[in-house]
Amino acid sequence: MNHWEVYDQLLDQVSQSLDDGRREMLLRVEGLRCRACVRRLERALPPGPVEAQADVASGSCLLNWDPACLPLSAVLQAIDDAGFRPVVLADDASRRTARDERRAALGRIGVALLFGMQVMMLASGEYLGEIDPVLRPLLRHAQWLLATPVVLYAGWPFLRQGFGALRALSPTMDTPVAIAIATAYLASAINTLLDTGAVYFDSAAMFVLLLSLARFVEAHGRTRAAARLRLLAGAQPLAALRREQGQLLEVPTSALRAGDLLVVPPGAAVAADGELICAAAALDESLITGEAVPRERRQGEAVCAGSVNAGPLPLELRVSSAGARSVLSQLTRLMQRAQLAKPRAQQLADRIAGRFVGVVLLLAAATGAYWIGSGAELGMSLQTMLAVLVVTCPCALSLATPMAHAAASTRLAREGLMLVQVDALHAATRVDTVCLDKTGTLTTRRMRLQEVRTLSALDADACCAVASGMEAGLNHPIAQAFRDACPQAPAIPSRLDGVQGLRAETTDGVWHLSRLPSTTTDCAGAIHALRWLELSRDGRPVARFALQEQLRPGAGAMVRRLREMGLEVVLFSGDGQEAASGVAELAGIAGAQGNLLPEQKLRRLAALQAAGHRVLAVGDGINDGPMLAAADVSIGLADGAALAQAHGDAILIQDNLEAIAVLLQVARQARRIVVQNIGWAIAYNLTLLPLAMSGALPPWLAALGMGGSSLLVTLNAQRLLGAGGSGHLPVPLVRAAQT
Amino acid sequence: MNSLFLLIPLAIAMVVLAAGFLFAAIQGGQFDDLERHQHRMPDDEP
Repeated sequence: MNHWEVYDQLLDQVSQSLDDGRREMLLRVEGLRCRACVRRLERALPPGPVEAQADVASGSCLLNWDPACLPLSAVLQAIDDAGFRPVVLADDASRRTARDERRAALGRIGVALLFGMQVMMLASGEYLGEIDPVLRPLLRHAQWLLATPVVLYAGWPFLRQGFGALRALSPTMDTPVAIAIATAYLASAINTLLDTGAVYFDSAAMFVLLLSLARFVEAHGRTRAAARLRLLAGAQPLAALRREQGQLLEVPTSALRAGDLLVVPPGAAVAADGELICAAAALDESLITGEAVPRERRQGEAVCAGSVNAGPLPLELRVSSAGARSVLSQLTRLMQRAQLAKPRAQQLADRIAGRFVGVVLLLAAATGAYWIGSGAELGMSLQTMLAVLVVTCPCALSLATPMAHAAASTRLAREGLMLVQVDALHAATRVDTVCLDKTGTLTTRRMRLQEVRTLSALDADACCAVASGMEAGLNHPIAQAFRDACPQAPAIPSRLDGVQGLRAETTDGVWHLSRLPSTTTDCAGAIHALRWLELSRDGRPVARFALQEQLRPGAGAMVRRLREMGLEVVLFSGDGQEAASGVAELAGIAGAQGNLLPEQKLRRLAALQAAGHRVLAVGDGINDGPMLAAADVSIGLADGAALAQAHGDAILIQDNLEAIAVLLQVARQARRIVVQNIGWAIAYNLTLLPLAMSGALPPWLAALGMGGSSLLVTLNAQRLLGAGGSGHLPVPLVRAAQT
Repeated sequence: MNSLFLLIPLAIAMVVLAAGFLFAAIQGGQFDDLERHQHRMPDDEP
């Protein structure tokens, strides 16, 4: 019997069931500070039935376990036994925990600062000269009194983590620090009681203060990275208004089922994915797409959970999927998985840091033994040992990569690009060719009827109505364009004729609607990026329609920026060469290849790769699956509800292609910063270790060096956030999360 | 010098008092969100 058992009953509310009968859930783990902690946590769980992916950067752990073999309570208990505190994320609880953690950290820093200052002031007397033997016990007892809350309260996380890990025989980075703090404090206390030797209360207080400060900045960077995620997770309202037999009832979101009718008052967030029943509505989908302008949705269109009713009237919708299956939940889970994945570079840093701690402990012991053996004063030997313990902590080394990656994905999220595969950031640094798909990628899926040329007595509106009626049952950009131009046209039953034509038989005759072969038409080349269709009756042409394709926002800017970075941009299209070249010219792309089937696209891509190019492929993820899968790095595009099926190493959720250029730029910058950070960490440890061993480095300076080093690495990574890098989201999002 | 026997305990008492104020401020939520409020200026609602 343990107190985790309550979660066995709440299984459906805290976790999600996977296809193979296993379940997956995100767990916040308190006390997860370094990579060695991660290994300790992962080792504490039985490897077969439980797979755990813990992440230092967000302080969380993704659990994948088999509930048939092992109840959730047992998994949680095992994590608890390993010295961590698991916090089950149930909507709101995570935010409360984050807030409490921040408050506790601030309180610890405050105590360390206020009391530590007093300790140092009282200690300064002994540095300045001989103290009156009457006053000395007073000063030392006062220091002891003041240093006790610093060490036992502010330093408690370090002591608990460090000694907990030592007991489990897998020392983490906190272990040398904990030993240093405890040794300094205890030795000083004994010397105070005996009124002999020296005291180091000031050193102990200084350690704790500097380390707490460094930890706080680290945690702050971590919180920023997780801010968007937490916002997403908290965006789904906990209750919704459901229409039941003519009256409105407030019900918990968890009770919603597909088919329920919901009413969303103005300014409130939608609780579940659904289909709009009322005529029209304006929806603020900024949370999902990052697009700030509210979007018009018409009757029958899909609405995502988490979007906010931006119109003046209540809107009504029919729930299509609720809870863990909603687009918002899928998006959240996708982002969580991305945050938890360990990049390869980081795994290497972990291994090095893990071994390093063991070496540090041995070196410190050897240093102490050497100094005592060589007849030095006990106090001096102790100080040297403390300095070695503190100065060599490999914190900076193990923070170097995760901090840079967290900052990079935050920056990309702000640009509307969601990183799914963390290793993609590394692969993107080597990309030299960008392959774009045309329809749905470089251009929007929407086309516009630009021009109608009549070739017979039938007027333009009548021709349009016929064509529109023939296209009525189809769901294709061309059909959509006719529907937009002529919404009232009655449907005419039609069937496919040949590859790309439609045929319909009415009382007026036999109609054909066909694409014009671009080589034979006399209107080709008049305006670029126009597609021509011809309507004919009984074999005689009656009208020609010009459809214009629209470039996605940011297409031109993206191509320009990619060119500036020295990358080659090519366009692969399934449409005719003419159409492909036209669009390419509009966007400023030199190389366009049309008439490509999906397999041919794949073959062209393979040819590029065989020629030594590293290729980034961009596609809409649904039709371009094979091409995206084969590329070195892939970006999938997703509009609203299509998100759940999107593929790719990264997913573009905002309607702005410029983010693709930003990805490549951020990737290059991130690599530079990781190299700088690791270089700094190694150089720092190699330089200061001999200094500390020789006794030239006082313990307080060692603490300053270590804290400063971690701080430097963290701040260096924050540069990735770019200009205006508060990492904060625009106001409507915050308000959405509150409603 | 004997004044130290009074002043040091007094200093300790003041530090404890200061720490008390700090904790009251932290628990009151003053430091919970230092970023959001700068964006809230255009908001009508409090």
